[in-house]
Amino acid sequence: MLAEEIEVELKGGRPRSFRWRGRRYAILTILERWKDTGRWWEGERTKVFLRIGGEHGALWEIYFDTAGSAWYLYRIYD
Amino acid sequence: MPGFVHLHVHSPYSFQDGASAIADLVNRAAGAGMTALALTDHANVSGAVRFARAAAQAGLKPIQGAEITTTQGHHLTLLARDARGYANLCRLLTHAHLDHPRGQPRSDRRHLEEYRDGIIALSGCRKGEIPSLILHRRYREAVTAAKRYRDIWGRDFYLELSETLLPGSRFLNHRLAELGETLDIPVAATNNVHYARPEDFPVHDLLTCARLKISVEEAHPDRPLNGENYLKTEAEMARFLAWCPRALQNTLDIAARCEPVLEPADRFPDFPLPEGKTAHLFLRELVREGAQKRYGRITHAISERLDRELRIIEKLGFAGYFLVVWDVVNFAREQGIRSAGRGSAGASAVAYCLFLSEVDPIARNLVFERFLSLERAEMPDIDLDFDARYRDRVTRYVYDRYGEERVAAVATYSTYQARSAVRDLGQVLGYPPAEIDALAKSLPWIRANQIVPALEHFPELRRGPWREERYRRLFEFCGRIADFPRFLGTHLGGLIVTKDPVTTVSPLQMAAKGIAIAQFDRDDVEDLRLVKLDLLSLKTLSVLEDAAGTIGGLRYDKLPLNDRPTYKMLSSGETVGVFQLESPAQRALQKKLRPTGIEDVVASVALIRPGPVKGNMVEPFVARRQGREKVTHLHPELASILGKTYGVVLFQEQVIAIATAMAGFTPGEADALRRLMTHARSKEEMRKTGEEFVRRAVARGIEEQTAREVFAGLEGYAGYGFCEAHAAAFGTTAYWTAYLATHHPAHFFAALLNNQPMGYYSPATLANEARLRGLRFLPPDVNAGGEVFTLEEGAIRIPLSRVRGMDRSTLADLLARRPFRSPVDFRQRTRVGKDTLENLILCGALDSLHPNRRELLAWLPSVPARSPQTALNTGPPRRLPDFSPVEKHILEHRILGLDIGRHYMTFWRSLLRKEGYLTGGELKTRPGNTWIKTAGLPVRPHRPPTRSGRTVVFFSLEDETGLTDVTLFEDVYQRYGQHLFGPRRHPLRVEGILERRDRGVSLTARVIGPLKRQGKEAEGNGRA
Repeated sequence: MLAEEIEVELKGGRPRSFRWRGRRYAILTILERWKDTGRWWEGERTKVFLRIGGEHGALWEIYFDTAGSAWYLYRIYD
Repeated sequence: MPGFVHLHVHSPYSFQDGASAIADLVNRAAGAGMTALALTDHANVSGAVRFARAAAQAGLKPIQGAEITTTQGHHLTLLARDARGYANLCRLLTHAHLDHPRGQPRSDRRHLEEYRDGIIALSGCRKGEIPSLILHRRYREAVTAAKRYRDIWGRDFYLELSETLLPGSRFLNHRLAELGETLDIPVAATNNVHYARPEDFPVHDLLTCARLKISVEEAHPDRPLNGENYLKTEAEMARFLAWCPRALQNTLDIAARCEPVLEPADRFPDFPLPEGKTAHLFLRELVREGAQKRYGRITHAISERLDRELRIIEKLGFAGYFLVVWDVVNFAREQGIRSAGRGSAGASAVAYCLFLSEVDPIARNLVFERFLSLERAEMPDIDLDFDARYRDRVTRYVYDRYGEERVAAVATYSTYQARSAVRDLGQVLGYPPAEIDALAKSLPWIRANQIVPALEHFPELRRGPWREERYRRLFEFCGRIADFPRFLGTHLGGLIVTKDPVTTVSPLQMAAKGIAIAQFDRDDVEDLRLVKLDLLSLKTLSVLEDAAGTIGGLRYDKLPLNDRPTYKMLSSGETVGVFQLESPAQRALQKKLRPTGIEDVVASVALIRPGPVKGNMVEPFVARRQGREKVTHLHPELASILGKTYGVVLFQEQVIAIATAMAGFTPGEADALRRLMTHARSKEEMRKTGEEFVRRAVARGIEEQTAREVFAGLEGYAGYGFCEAHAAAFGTTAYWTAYLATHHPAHFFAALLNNQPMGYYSPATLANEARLRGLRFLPPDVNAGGEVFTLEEGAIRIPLSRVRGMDRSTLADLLARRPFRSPVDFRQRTRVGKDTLENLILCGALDSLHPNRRELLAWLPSVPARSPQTALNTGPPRRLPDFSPVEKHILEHRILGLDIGRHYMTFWRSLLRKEGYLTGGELKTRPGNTWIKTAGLPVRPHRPPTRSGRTVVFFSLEDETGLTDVTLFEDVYQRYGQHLFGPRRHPLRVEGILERRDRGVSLTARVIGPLKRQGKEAEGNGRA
C-alpha cells in the first residue's frame, strides 16, 4: 500500500491513464469502484477508490481524495 | 425515466440503526416525487402507525414491512402486500421473537413457508443469504438458495440490487442480475436506506457504534464504510443502475401491488355473553342492577341520565367495552382486590353503577360528555387502579378470560433525551468517562436538542468542561438523535384485548419483565382503535389495605367523610404521607384552605396542578373559600354550576356545563369547546367559537355583554382546569389516607414504609415525620422483626430486608434459623455473605448479641461460615473502642436508608446554634419578614413551569423538627442552584427572609451553601 500522489488523465469523466514516478500507465478497465468516508470525525473527507486493470494484466487500486481533489496510487497487485 | 420507489428503508425504530425520523424519510421521498415508500425496520413494525400517518399526510402510499434475520443469520426484506400479508408478517415476527432468546429474533424456514401468503420478499442487503454467497464466490450455493426462496414466494420473490458503492458492489449486482435471468427471478432496486440525506451519515455511524458498544475509533465489520445509504432520488438510483432499468421499474410494480394494511377495522373483543343476550341488553341489565345497589330508589332523573348514557354508548358501539371493563372489576371485587377508577370515567353514571368508579356523577352534577360524546366518538378510556400487590393477578385474569393470543401489554418507547444521548454518544466519541458521568448526572430532564441553551440557563451546568468548544460537536449530535427510540419497554398498565389474535395486528415480543408485549405504544393503539385496558397499580391502595389489616380489618371505605380530627390534621399542613396532599405546595394550601369537608379535599387535588397554578386560580379560590373575597356570578345560571367552587372555574366539567346552560351547546359541542380551550391555541378558532357562543347565548335571551364576559372568563381559563371526576376519585382516597395518618399513625407509617418506593418523599423523610408524630423506631435485629416493618408495642421495627445487600433467599434462610444465641452462632448457621454481614453489624442488627460494632467487624467476618469446625477463630473478639455515635449514625443511614433514632441534623445542632442557625421548628415562632439562618437536608428540589417563564425553585429543608419549605427566585437560583441540582447533594445552610402567610411559614432564600464540617460533633464522612 502506497498512497502516493499520481496524475490521472480523464476523458469524459473516466480515468484513462495515470502517471506515477515519471511513467504513464494506461487504464484499460475499471473493475470496481467504492467509497470510503474514512475518519470523518477527524475531518477526513470521502475517498473514491477504483480498482483498475492495465496492460499485461496489471492491477492497481487508486483513489481520489475529495478533500484535496487529488489522486493517489493506493495498491499495486503483483 | 422508469420511475422508482424505495422498498428497503430503516427508521429510528430499527433501534440505533436508523438515523432519520420517519417524517424526514417520508417528506424526502414525497419531495423527490415518489408515490410510495416502504418501511422495513429490523424485526419490528413499531413505526408502522406513525409511518402510515405521515405517509397519508404527505400523499404517499405506505408499504409496511420488516427486515428479518433468518436462523442462519441472513437478512431478508419482507413487504406486506395486503392485510393477510401484514398479519402473516406479524405472526412471523412473533415467532422470531418468542421462539428465540430475547433481543435475538430469528425466523426459520418453516415459518417463512407457513406465513408466506400476502408477502413480497426481497433478497436483502449484503447480509442476505444470496448476496453473501455471491460475495464469497459460492455461486452454485447462491443458485440453490435463490431456488429455495423462489419455491417459497414464487413470483413474489425479488433479487435486490443495491448500489451503495461498497467494494464488490458492481460484481455483486451483475451476478445477481445474471442469477435473475437464469432462474427467472425478477430484480428490484433498493438502497438499504438508513437515513434521509447524505449528511445524516455521521449520526448513523455514531448510533451504530453505540449499538455495537464501541468507540468511533474502533473498526467493526458492521460499521458503514460510507455515506451512501441515504434516500436517493430516482435520478441517482437510475444513474447507478442505468444498466438495469427493469430493477427500478419493478419497484413501481411492487408498490402498485401493495395495499395499505392498517385500515380501521372492528377489533373489539367478543365479550362472552349469556345465552340470547346482546351486549347492550346485558349492559342495561347490569346497570339497572347496579343502580339499585348504588341509589336504592331510582328516581326519574337517575333513570333518565342512565338511559341517555346507555343510548350514547350503544350508538358508539361501546357496550362490549364497558362489559369487558366491568368483568375485570367484578373479578377483582370477587377476589377482594381493592380497585378504584380514576380519570374522566368518573363522569359516567353507567361506570358508577357498574362499580368501575366510586364517583357519583349525578350527585356531583358531572357532565357525561367529558368522558364520552357522540361528536368526539373517541374510544373510551377507563383507567383502573388496583392494589399494587395484586394487579398482576387481575392481569392474569384478563389473559385467561380472552386467551393468551388475544391479550398483550402495550409498549412504551424509551427515547433519547439529554442524559441518555450524552452518555451514549459521549462514550462513542471518546470524551472522558468521568466528565460524561458528571454531565449526565447534572443535566435536568430535558430533550436531547436542548442541551446548549441549558448550559447557559442552569447554574449546575455552568461549571464544567462541557462548556468548552470540544463539547459543541457532542451536543450537536445529541440534538440530532433527540426523541429517537432507544428500546421498547412495557407500559405501566396498558393491555390490549382483541377480537382476533393480537398477532394479526401487531407482532409480540418478550419484555424485560418476561411478559409478551405488542410493538405499539399508547398513541398507536388509540390510532388503531384497539381496545385498551389501563390496569394500573396504585401503591396507596396497598397502603390502605395493609394498614387496615394491621389495625384489625378497618373498613376505611365505609367511614363517613366528615371526621373533624382528620380535617384538623389536614389544616395543620402536616400531611407528609397523605395521598396527593403531601407536596410542599399542597401542605401550604392545606394550611391556607383549612379544609372542613370532602369538597375542600377534592378542590385541593385539582388546585395544585400546573394548570390552575399557572392560571393563578389558587389564591382567588382560597380567598373566596375563606370568605375574604365575595363570591359573585356574571349570570344567575352560573351559580348552580360554579357554586361549589365559589365562582372560580376550576373543573373542566364546569366549562361544558356553562356552554350548555348559557349558549345551548349540546354537551358534545360543549366538550369540543373544552377541548379547544385545553389543547388548541389558534386565536382565529377561538374567536370564531367565541362569536358562536355569544350568538347562541343572545338567542337564549342573555345580554350580549354578559355573554362576552362569560366567554372571556372561559377563555382566560383555557387549559388551566382539571377533570373533576378524577379529582373526586383521588380526593376520596386522599381523605382515607389522611384519616389513617390521624388516627392510626403507627399502622399508617409502617404501611407506607412497606410499600416504598411511592409518593413524594424518601423513607428517611417519612421516618422523620413518623418520629415527629411521637413514633419510635427499633433497629433491625437478627432475632427480631423480619421482612417488613412491623409494630412492636407501638414502635416500628425496621426489618432486616432494609439492610443493604440482603437478598430474599438469604433473609428467608436467616429467619428460618432464628433464634441466634451468639455472634458465632449467627455466623455459622446462616449463609450471609461478607458484605451483608458487615452491613448487619454496622447498622446494629447484631447489637443484641454483642454491643460493640467495631469489635464485631474486626472479628466476625473471619469466623468461618457454616463450618463444622467451630473451634477455629471463635474466641472472644479483640478489645476495640466502638464507633462514635455520629459514625454509627452515618453508617446506619447509609445501610438502611433512614435514621433509626436521632436525625442527622441533631449532630450539627449545638454548632449551628452557636452560629445563630435556627431549627425549622423555631422558625415558626419568629416574626415574618425577618432575616434568618437555618440548615438541613434538601428534599425534592424542583422547578415547576411558571406563567412568566422565569425559574422558581421549591424545595424543603429537613431537620429534626420537620420540613421547612424554601423558595428560590431566579436571581438567587442562578447564583446557588448548583448546590441543589448538581450530581452531589450536601446538607445545606440557607439564609433568607422568613415569610409568614396564612398561618404558614416559608423561607425565601437569598444565600445557600453547603454545610461544611467544622466541628468535632459533625465528624465523619458527611451524609446525603
